[in-house]
Amino acid sequence: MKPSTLHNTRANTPVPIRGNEPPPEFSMMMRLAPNGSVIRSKGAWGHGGGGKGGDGGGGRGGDGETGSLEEQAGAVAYVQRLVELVGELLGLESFAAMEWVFHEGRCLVFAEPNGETVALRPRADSNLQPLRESLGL
Amino acid sequence: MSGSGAIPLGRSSSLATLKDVAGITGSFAFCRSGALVARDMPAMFDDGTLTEAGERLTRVGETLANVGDELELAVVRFQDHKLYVKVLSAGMLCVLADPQVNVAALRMAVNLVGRRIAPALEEAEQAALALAADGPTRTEDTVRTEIPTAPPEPSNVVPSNVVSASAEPSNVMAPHVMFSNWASPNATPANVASSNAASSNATPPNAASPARAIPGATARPTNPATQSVRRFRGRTVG
Repeated sequence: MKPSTLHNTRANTPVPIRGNEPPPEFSMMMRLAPNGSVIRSKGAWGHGGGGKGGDGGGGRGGDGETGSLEEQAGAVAYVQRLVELVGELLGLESFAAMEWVFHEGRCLVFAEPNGETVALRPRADSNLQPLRESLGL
Repeated sequence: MSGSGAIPLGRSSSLATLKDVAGITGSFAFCRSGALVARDMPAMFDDGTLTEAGERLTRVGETLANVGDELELAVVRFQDHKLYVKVLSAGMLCVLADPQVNVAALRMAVNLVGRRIAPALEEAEQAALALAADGPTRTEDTVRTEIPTAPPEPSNVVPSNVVSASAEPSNVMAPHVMFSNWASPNATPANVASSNAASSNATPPNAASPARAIPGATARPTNPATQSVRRFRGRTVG
């Protein structure tokens, strides 16, 4: 790990996901504006969607899972805010990224320098180490 | 609870073992309600701050559970620190670490410590739940004692009284005396008696006529339905 990549403030955070297409090791991607609206989504976010993938933009989702997508977007935005508050309480610096491990699957969330937030869900067999290193996780 | 002095030695020493991993600043554990159970953090972090952080981290887990994701652990990266959160059966264990911490070693240490402090967290959670369950009951009791007893509806009381009076006519108090405290304006002795007469054939003669009430009898503030002893001029009669 290079020390320079560990200091990922908003000013110098490496942006591993540029553009709209997630790398193939991620089944789902969601990009949120600073106000919490969904700018772009890819894949079937939420549960009960039957794994139907899709592409959406302009804050509308587009994969037929708008309710679930919005719920997930709300959860991501709210959790990010809670984590930022925890960081403020503990005197920590600005939030950079986080990884959640669930009973089933995991999710990576990171803040972009422009204030946008990206959430990614990797495939089960994907290697997350390069992204973890670039995010400092 | 202030500093680390009030924390039972067993739990704080369990948390202290996490510092065997290089780069650990400190750790704290809280139960599902957010209450701080154990801490091994530098003194600059007061208990209130850690409790508040615990409540928010609990809410993180609840938020994710609300969208169908049961959180097991989370790693949060701040600019110069890492926060490692392990979800336990009755709470969470939170470790503040440097960015260069060996995450694999930390994961192992957190698993072991989490297993060790899980019973203490469950105890604390049970205690918090018991406290929460006791609180409303006590309040309810207090409120209940403060509510004045409402007088019973005359229509519900009179018939039984009259029926019992019919068995023992000498114990019957005049209706206008009995109900003078709380009877409705319409429930005059006459119409009470007449309604009783209409509903029951066992109406005593003196219940129908206020003029035949016991002279000198005074109104009593107690509920006549529960009055078992009749007094006349301060003496018990009948």
